[in-house]
Amino acid sequence: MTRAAFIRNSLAMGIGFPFLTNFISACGRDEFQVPEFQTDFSGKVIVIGAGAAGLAAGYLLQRYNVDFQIIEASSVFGGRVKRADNFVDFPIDLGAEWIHASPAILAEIIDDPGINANIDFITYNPQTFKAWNGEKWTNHNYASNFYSEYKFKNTTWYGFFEKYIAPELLDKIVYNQPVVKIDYSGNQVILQTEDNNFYEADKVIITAPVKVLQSNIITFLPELPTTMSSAINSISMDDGLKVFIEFEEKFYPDLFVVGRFLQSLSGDDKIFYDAAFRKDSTRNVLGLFTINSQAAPYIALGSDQAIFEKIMEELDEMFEGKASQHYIQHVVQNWSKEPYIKGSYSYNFENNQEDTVNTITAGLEDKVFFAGEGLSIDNQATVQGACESGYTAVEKILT
Amino acid sequence: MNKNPIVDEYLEKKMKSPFYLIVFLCFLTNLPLKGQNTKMPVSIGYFAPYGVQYGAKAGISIPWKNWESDRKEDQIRSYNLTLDPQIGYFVFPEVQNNFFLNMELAIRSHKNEKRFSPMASAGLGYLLGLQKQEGSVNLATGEIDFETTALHYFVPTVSLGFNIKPKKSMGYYFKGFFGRKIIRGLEGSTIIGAEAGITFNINQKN
Ligand SMILES: Cc1cc2nc3c(=O)[nH]c(=O)nc-3n(C[C@H](O)[C@H](O)[C@H](O)COP(=O)(O)OP(=O)(O)OC[C@H]3O[C@@H](n4cnc5c(N)ncnc54)[C@H](O)[C@@H]3O)c2cc1C
Repeated sequence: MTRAAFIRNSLAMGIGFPFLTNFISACGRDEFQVPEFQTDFSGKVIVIGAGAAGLAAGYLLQRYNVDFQIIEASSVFGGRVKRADNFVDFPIDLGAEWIHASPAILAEIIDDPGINANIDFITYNPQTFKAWNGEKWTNHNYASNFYSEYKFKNTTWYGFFEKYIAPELLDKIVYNQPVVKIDYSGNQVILQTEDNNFYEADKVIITAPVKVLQSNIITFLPELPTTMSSAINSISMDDGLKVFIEFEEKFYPDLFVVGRFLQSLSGDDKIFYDAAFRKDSTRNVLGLFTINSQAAPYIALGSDQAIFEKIMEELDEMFEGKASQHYIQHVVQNWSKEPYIKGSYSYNFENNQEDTVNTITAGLEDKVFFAGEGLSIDNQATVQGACESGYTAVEKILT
Repeated sequence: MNKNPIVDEYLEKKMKSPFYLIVFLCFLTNLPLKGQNTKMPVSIGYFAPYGVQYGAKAGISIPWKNWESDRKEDQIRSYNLTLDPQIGYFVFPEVQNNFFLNMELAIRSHKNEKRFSPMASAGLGYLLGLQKQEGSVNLATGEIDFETTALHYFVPTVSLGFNIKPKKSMGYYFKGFFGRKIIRGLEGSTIIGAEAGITFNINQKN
């Protein structure tokens, strides 16, 4: 069974995404190979978006000495891979945090046998699990015996890209240039940005998140074929939020949920977790990861401060006022509010996933191609999936 | 939580395959039987804590007490109380290798001369868990070096199941078990699983 099939089946059986990965690794490692090929391509490529998919695409284009540029809407690279540097004594992943595969995937993404480096990771196998039912706690420590995956020990997903993928790309990235129009009616593709700057290329790879594509921030000339736009619209991507709160004391278990334990882990996720678990740190940092309908009520509150206050209210109720008593500082990352991300990650496919992905990745008139986490069949919704889709789009263009 | 890389490496490398462990255990369990006259069935089982971990164990049943009751007409029910020392190995893939010693007090009963007998047992075990808590990946090759930490648990369990007694030489058993993994200084956790295996009499002199 492939990882994708396994995820689909398990979700259908009600096993939630975060709890899947150690079963997934039991299915064997997915083939993740940076493509190798011959090419005589000599044109220019523009990549829209400097998230994991866009950076991976740039990394491969660089390897094949292709003339390319990456146009990014925001002022930083990384997209949903983002780091809070000076929050505590270890870097915090504000977006992707877990390595949802064997850590060997990091070597596979880089694909450079000449590199002389190691990365330390931790086995993320929380030992204490609890569920809060509104009145009392129940213990679910048995889960430590079947849930486990990996995290970086001293760095982050952002740090990984910063050190191993991005260095050679930095002068190719143009920041603060949201693309608003893509004209692919002529021989060359012409991109127009919000500031009315124009860029021309022979081929374009769009890595904007599904939700951005759905919100018509980018208009296409000619319009997207109906098959393409309905395929894009059939992928769901909803709210996403991460919050980290530092406390003087660790008064919480390694991982806890609100509601019925197994039910909370299936479907939409809302998980509180000890973000300092097995990190080299003396600090106490509680993380909240929540997406989709569980995140929506927080997002609806509007401001980061209102979201934080609501969470503190909930924690105080659960821990008899200890949250306010031991509070030091916090950081809120509202992914739904990011204008060029607009949510968490692709979740559900209305129709057959493979057909939907194939329709989108077929591209437009051999000039405009699509990549991004939602377009990886084997590693959807993950960083490595985003990279894989970026590599595949480049291979399509160059071969 | 102390680390002993030499022990870890030995156990990891030499005893990786449960198969070798079983052979080793059979040898061990066979030793004390030589020259004895009592039936001491040896059992070898496959078991799966939580359904996702798996391993093997071997043990012997040392008879302690036998008695019979004949409350119903033409039905004699016999009971055997045994002490079952066991040794085993199981793995939580990619996370923890576990080695354990266990002592169970088991009661089996069977009607007349039927081979089927329900059984119940209570046990107490020591479990050494070698947990891969962190590691390092070589970015050129993808090779992973894990650092393991030794964890020591006490594991009281209760089990319910049944035996099909050996006819000539081989019988079968199945049981479900439930217990707690208790560890000093940390919160324990429930252990639950199922076990199936074969039993055979090595010594048939009796
Ligand atoms: C809360 C959260 C937790 C997650 N946890 C994990 C995890 O633990 N492990 C894991 O593997 N994955 C996780 N993920 C998923 C992972 O972050 C994503 O799969 C991956 O980072 C997506 O990369 P991408 O390149 O496809 O998209 P993005 O990272 O979103 O990159 C798209 C880029 O395009 C830019 N852009 C958008 N529109 C335009 C435009 N019009 N013009 C120019 N630029 C534009 C954006 O600014 C952005 O930089 C998580 C995601 C979230 C939100």
